[in-house]
Amino acid sequence: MINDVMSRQEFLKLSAKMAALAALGLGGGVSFLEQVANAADDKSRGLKWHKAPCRFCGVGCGALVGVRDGKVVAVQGDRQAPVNKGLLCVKGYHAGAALYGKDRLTHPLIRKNGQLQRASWEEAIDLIAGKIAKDSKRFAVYGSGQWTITEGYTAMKFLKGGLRHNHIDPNARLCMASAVVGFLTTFGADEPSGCYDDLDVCDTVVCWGNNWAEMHPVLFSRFIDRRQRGDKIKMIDMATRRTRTTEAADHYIEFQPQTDMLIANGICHLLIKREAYDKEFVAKNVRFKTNDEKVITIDDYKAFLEEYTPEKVTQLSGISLEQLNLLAGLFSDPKEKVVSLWCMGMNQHTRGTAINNLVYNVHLLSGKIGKPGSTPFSLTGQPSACGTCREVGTLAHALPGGRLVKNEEDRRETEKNWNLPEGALDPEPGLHTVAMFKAFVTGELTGMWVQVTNPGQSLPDLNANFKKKDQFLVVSDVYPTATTKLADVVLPSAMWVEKNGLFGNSERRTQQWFKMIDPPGEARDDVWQMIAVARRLYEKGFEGMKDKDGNFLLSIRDEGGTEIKAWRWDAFRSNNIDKPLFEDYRKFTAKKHKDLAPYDEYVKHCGLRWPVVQDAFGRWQETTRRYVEGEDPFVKQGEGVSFYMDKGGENRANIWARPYEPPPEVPDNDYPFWLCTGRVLEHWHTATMTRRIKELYNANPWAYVELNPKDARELSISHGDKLRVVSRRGSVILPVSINGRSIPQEGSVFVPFFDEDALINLVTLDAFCPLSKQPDYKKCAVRLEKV
Amino acid sequence: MPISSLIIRTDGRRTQEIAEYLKTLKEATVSEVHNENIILVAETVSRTQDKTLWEGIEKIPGVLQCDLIYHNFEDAEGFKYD
Repeated sequence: MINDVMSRQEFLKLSAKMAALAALGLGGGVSFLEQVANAADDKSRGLKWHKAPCRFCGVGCGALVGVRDGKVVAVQGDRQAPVNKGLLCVKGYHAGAALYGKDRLTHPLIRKNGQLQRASWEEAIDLIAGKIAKDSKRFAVYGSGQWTITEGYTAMKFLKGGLRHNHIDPNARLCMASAVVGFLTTFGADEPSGCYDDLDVCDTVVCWGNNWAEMHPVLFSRFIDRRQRGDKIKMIDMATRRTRTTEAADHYIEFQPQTDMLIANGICHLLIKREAYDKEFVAKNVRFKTNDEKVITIDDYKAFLEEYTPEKVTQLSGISLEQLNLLAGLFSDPKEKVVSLWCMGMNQHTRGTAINNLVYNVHLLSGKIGKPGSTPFSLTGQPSACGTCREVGTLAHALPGGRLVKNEEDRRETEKNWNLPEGALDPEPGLHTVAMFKAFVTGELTGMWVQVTNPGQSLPDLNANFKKKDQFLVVSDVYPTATTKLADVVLPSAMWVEKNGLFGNSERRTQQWFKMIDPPGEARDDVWQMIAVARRLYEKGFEGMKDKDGNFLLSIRDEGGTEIKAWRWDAFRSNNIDKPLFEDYRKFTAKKHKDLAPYDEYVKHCGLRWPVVQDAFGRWQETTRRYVEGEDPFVKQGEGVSFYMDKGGENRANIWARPYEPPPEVPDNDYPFWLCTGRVLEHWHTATMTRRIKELYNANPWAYVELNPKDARELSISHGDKLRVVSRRGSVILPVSINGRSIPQEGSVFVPFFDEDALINLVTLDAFCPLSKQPDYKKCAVRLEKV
Repeated sequence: MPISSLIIRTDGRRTQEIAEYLKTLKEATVSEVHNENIILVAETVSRTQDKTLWEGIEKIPGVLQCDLIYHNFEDAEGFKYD
């Protein structure tokens, strides 16, 4: 047999080649015999492959994880996964290695005499439950878009159902809240109506401040690959900084910070003036509204746009008339299929909701939505920002499945599903992230539990927003972080394939995986931690943790109806708790047409895009594009496109007359440069995982400040010099990068935020969008001092 | 030794030139050149060298993007809780 004549190295090389050929659709290059032999080799080596979505960004790539002897030993892109079709980026490829950092947290730690000291789970749980019981109304939970769906659901039930208030918010507030409010205000429902398939059939992608070559590289490859196959596609990169995305773009349109609002209104101005908008689509599907929510006519809207002349837009934004005409021309052409992409560049914006609305305006006015290849599409940065934060609703104002705490009917339904007495749920929205941390700093909140995130590094204006005296801070994480430094209790968590999980990605795709290996030491699942503390509260007689019959609020039952004692680690780990928890959550999803299939359907698939409903034959069918007849089961025959989540009851989307508003802080004589912060290819967010992977650390070990070469010449600054970047709030010393991977526009600097040893968030501003409460990390004023 | 495969996406103008250069690397084998894509199978002594190789390839003029498709690292050093 082939095993006899091929060495193991040769087999592995053949596997590698096969995977690459298949990813290019060239699987015929490898014989059937070789494939069989390869599979046999995996088996003989005890290597088992399991599916899981990647643990990092919101794209949701499918990975195959190779496990041998209880360890993850290999990762490959899953060719069956529709998202990535076998590709992975550098972070996904190292996702396995992220499990094995030398300093994994393996035991609970409790601060005693100023030092974190090893403690038992029993002691830690008892301490946390005692602190909560003492002051439960002033105890908050701060979570994450990296929570699995069931982790978020459990935390939400723990806090809103158990502690009976709403001070729970996720780090997703810092990355996609503006997208959420943008969707809600325009369409009446959250999340993109389009999907990744639109990238396969569009003519043009317009990137609105989005460096997807580095931040969402697999989607970028999926699009660029079309060019190499001969498709005539275009990419327009609108940005304030030249990046790897710019290198592949057909046009680079550089604009002044915040003027994306002017450009969007300027495009609409030209569409209207030239009578080049889609009149039929607009008449049937759109209504117009002012900033203060009054319904207006299209003539009123035209009058609003009058001031956004090409002269004004080009003068203030810095783009040329040709560039503005290029954009307006794309959206004017009824045959051109256009996808708009954005992420943090638009969301982290003091008018984040407004700029989201304005890009929808462009697509609605041009009718470029609800058609294959034409859609506005908001990308996300975390693996389950959509699935957990937006769908489960782990936000201060939300209840599961798109419900709101302010809405009485929503509260009653939630109380019924959770078997709570009527009136148990608090109608008052809780504190959003920035307000929550400000309340923690002042002592208005006396306790907080942080899970799966690192606010000690990621909050804006850290000097103001991350400090404490006697307040009680619990942190669940996998590694020591900037946040654990301040913690009173540190709980070691299981991560990714060390536990069962479900994530929801940017295109409404819910993906499931099973636990593959044990977590190290005494590390335990975040869900278990929450259930164990809730149970301790219940045992102490804490009323909130009882349902209306006096039973444990977070009780979990198996399919036969028998209670699983999930607060006991041995019972938890010997059962798949995710399944009953998901089924409990699933009851909430139909009302707002976010319908999910039963858990077992997700086991069979590489994800399904909601709404997922049963067809006439009882088969569970996903939805590719929402609001589109023939694709979305809730659009009736003959309706074509129907924005059926319209709160006005007319199945229309809103075009908003949102005026340009300047940023709260602009460069001046004392602070003459713009500061923009962001991510890099090699590191994921605050890099608590990726910086522990030697190869990624070596590739990009520390933060730097990027300068435009012209600014550097004028200031006599050379590559490698050290600069102190100073704002009105703080400063940080960084080495200079000139003509590196990216080049910021003149008068601006860029600093990545991944480096715990050089915290740029000591410098940033915590001003936020008044609607979404999402802070603007992309614009504040700084000066540069040579060190 | 870590074994990986990469799809190297080029700008189309320098594909053959890049492929010829890659053939000179002792850690790598050019398995296939298809249109503007090059399939490279790499065998390195460590994950560090693996990453260094990949970073080097991304800096070659005309290379637009490297996508890692497969990675086996079971024998790599340090791949355990230590």
